[in-house]
Amino acid sequence: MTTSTRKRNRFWVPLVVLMLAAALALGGCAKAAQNGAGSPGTTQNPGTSQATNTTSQNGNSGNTSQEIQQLQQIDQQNQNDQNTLNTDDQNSNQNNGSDQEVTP
Amino acid sequence: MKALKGFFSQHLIALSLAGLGVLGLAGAAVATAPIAAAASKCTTVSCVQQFGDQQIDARLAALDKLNGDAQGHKGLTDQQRQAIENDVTTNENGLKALKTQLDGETDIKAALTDVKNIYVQFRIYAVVLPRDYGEIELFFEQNIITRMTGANQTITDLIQKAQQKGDDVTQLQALQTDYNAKLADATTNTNNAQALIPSLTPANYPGTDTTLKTYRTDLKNARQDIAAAAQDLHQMLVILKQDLGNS
Repeated sequence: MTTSTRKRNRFWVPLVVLMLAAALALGGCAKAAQNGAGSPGTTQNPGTSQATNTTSQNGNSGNTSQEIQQLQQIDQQNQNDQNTLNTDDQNSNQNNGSDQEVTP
Repeated sequence: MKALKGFFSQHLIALSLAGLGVLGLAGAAVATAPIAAAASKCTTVSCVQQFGDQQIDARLAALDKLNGDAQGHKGLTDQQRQAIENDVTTNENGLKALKTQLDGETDIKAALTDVKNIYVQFRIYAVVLPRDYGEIELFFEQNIITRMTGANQTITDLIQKAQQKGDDVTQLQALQTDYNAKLADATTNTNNAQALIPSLTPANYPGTDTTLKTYRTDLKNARQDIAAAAQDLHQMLVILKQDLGNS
C-alpha cells in the first residue's frame, strides 16, 4: 500500500463510520416517533380530546358526551330492569302453597 | 177407571220415592267423599312421621328455590343476597331440627304436635316466602331508585348546557320535575313496604294476610313510580341528544 492510499483511507474511513452512525440515529428517532403516534390512550386519546372541546364550547365543567353516555347507560339499565322487576313481582305474588293446618 | 187411576197414582208415588232415594244416595256419596278422606287419619306414629316429613321436605325445597332466586339476582348487592340467605338458613335449620325431632317420636300425640308446629312455628308458605320474595323486589327497587337519583345531577348539568346553547328547556324541566316526584313517591312506597317487614312473622298469622296485601300494594306502586320515572328519563335523553348531539 502506497503512502497516498493510506492518507486517503485515514480520511474516508472515519467519514463513512460517522455517516453510518448518523443514519442509524435518524432511523431510531423516526421509529420512536411512529411508536408514539400509534400508541392508544396517549397522544390520540379521543376522550381527552373531546372533553377539552366540549368544555370550551359549553363552559360547564362536565363532559357532554360522557354525561349523555351515562344517561344512556342508565336508560338501558332501566329498560332491562323492567323485565326483572316484573319477574320479581310475579314471584312475590305467586301462590307458594297452603299453610292451612292439616291433621294427618 | 178409578182402579186404573189408583194403580197409576200408586206407581207414580213409588217411582218418585225411588227417584228421590237414588238422588239422595248420590248426594250422600258426594257429600261423604271429603269426609271419608278426612276420616282416613293416621293411626300409627310412622304414618304421622311420613306425612310430616313430606310437608317439611316440600318447604325445604321451596326455601332452596327462594335462595337460588336471590343468589342469581344480578340486581342485588352481596349484602342483600346474604340477608335472604340468612333467613333461608334460619328457617331450614329450624325445619330440619323439627324433622329430626318428629322422626324420633314414639308417641303419636307428640308426633302430631310436631306436625302442627310445621304450620304454627314456620308458616313458610303463608308468611316467609311472600315476605322474602317481596324483600327481593324491595331491595331491587331501592337499588334502582338510588341509581336513578344519582343521575339527577347529570340531568341538571345537561339541561343547563342546552339552556346556555339557547334551546327551549321548558319540557326538559317539566320532565325532570316529574322524574324527581316519581322517585320521591317510589322512595315513600318502598319505605312503607320495608316498615311492614318486622310484622310479617309466623306469630302474627293470620293477620299477616292483610299486611301482605298492603306490602304487595306498596311494592307495586313503587314499581309503577319507577317505571314512570324511567319513562321521563328516556324522554329527557331523546331531547338532550337532539339538543346537544350524541358525540
